Amino acid sequence: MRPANDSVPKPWGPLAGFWSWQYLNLLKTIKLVTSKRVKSFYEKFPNVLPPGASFPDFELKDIHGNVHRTTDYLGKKYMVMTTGAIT
Amino acid sequence: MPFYEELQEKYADRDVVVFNLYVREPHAGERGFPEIRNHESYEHKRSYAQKLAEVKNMETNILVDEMDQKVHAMLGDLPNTIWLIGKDGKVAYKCTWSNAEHVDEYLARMVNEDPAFEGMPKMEQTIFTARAGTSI
Repeated sequence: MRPANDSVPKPWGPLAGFWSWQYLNLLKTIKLVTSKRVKSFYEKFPNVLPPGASFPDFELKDIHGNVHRTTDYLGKKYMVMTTGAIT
Repeated sequence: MPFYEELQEKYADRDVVVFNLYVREPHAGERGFPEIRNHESYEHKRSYAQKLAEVKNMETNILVDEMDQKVHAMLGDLPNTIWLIGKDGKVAYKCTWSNAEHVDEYLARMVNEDPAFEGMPKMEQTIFTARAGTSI
């Protein structure tokens, strides 16, 4: 079983990573993954909302205008929350 | 199919809800998205999220953060991060880069240990990052 505070390198994804080349700016991507910003992301990752921490309460609208509150799911649902890009 | 969609579909009868938090646009103007620009207003941002969800045929809940990225800041301003939160409201697992295999493995274990699903077939890790959809 993986550690619960799991910091892993970026997975290559489909087609050994080549799939993304048709969508992204390669030079920008290389600059980004070697940047201080990404380095700082890995440095602070273990301490941000680690396993066992209470997930923050907030409410936001979805793309249809429906309001979702995290407290609405407490005790009823498992939540998967991601900040991954949808582009 | 993005793997978030696979998770939502696979765990549909196991009390799992999947949220994708749409924050700032990281790929504005890049090769595959020449028409996408940086967000100018909340409505502009929401319209992009809606359009992208339609193009990618996404059924998961896409939450649109405020223009000041208030919720993203609460979550540490971390890109591409995924959290699994238990029914007790506590973080059970978190991972950089939304690695499908690891997320699926943890989620399967969480629901398998839930007495509410006793007697139901055990879930197994079946989702792989390398098999995710690549179309946009």
